[in-house]
Amino acid sequence: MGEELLTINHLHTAFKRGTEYFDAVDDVSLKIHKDEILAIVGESGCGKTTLAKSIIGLHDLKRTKITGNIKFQDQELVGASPEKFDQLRGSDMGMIFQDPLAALNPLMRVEDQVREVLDYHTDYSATKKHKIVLKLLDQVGLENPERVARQFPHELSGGMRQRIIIAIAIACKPELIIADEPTTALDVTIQAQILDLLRSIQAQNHAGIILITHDLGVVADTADEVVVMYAGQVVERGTVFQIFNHPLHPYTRSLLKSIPQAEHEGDRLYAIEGAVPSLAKMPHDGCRFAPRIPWIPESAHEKTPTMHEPEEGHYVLCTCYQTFKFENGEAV
Amino acid sequence: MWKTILRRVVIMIPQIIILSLLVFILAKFMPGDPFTGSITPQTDASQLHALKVQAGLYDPWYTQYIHWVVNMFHGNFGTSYQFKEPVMAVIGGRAINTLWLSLFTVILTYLIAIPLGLLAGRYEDTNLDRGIMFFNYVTYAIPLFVFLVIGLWLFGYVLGWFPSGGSVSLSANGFWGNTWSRLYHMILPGVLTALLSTTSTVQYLRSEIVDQKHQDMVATARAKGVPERKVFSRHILRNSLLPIAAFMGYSITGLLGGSVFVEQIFTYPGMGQLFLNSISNRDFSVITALVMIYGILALFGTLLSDIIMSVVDPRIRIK
Repeated sequence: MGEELLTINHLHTAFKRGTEYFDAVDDVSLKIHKDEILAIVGESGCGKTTLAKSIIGLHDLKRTKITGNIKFQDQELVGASPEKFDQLRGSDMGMIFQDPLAALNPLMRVEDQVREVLDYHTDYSATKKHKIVLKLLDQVGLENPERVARQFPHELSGGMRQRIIIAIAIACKPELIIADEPTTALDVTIQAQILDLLRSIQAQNHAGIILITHDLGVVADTADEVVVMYAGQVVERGTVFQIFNHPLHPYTRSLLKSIPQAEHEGDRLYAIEGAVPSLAKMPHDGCRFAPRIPWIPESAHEKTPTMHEPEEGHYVLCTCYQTFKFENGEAV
Repeated sequence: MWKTILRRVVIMIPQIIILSLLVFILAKFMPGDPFTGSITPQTDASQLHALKVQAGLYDPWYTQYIHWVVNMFHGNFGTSYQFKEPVMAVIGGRAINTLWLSLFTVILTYLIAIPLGLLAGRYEDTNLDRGIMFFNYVTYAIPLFVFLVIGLWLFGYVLGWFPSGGSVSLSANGFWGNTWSRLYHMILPGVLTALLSTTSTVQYLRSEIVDQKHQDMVATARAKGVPERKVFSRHILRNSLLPIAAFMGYSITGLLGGSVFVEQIFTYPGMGQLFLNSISNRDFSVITALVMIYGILALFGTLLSDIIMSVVDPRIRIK
């Protein structure tokens, strides 16, 4: 494991609704090292993207309140100036977005979009930048980089566009790459290629990668460490081995249970009852997962859930994991 | 590119034929004929009949139609009953007047609207934005003819800063004197109309900017470390101007249409005023010619919009 790259302590990201602020990310703490892929998993609406945007400073601070600490390479990012972020983004941190069809400017040629990163972070000559752009396009596995460089995004497939977005993200060899559901919008064969590409880039650049996804298959395939988020909180955290082999939190176990499996073909697929509560309806005390497992007695939950560490490096929120179990494929 | 334009022009041919048929049929439905106006109690009925035969009014409709079309191709739209002059000569002089006034108005409209829309979108939800939106709703709510009359009364009559009508003063001579006099006559109607024509451009630009701000591609640009100012000019603004560009084709062809209100209130001798006068005087040959011209202009307007779009938006570029 490499040196520590990013440390988040007690991070709260709150959105303004009317006059009140609501926590979309609630007391999240995590760490990522160089050469590590950290996966953040959870359903839609549980704060994964909000967390990522807090790290890279993409929230509109007029409507968002961020408190806590985000330490990146000895710099505090909470409260950092926009200029500081402009300087960090693109050069030390890169971000890959979910929808490659929407993430590129339709009016600019590929070359101009990739080169824009170099324009603001290097003072290379135009010819050198051109060479770097072509090399990057080649590195992300695009055939005929010269041709692609001259094309517009609409002339390319989704997979190719995602490769271009990756090329943009890695142009300045950032230490940290945040990939926000990089494969969600792509079909399965392309997904595998893109994940391979991310892994090979990491091997070359020794970057730390935060991989946000709701696809547990992707996690098992790619990640070293896993953070499971539910309703803005980290409910479980551990190595990929720990999470997949002995998941603890009822939410993690339900998630794993709801993956379709070949040997159970024909069985009813397990589904978690209910949905993630909306921001305004978020319960403020008690276990947030309790309403979705109503058969677990109230006494099994902690009044104010705390992190437990039943084995080294494996953390779980609340005590309800001790009571929750599956019998004959049904949660009891 | 040229092929596309050529193809579009070819498609326009059947459209123009349909348009001309419609105009012709409508003209035929209108009561009266070119000689109705010159009938006096002394008119000899047989002589009138002979004149009508000579004019081809008893020919089958298709012969008349073909005759009309052939004449049109030779630039002959007939004679205005009202002015006793060839229609083209009547329209010609006024078209120039209208063109200048409209050009002045359109340029002024964009000069006012684009900065307003841009500021409102960029500083969304601030007092500046609210102020601009207020201006926009007020100008949208005021009827043009009321605004023009009040403006004319205030600046033309009470303050006397600008002439209250006409397109050029009789005493103006020399190229510069003439140009200045024309411009001077255009300022009041042009500015007043431009102030009230900004609504849709401001609104479109503002909502496009607000919309584009939240696009993923803007987040990508920010994630590259592009400073906010550049994110706005290179990414948000360029994409937000697309719908404005799409409208530009129409407004350019609208230049010749003229505004009936403005020209009537400012007694400005242009196409709009001519159209209105021709209708009230049943000057059919002028009306049909004007309707034809407006129709063809509208078709060219869509073509022009397509060309502008294909220049500014690579997704529309056709090979």
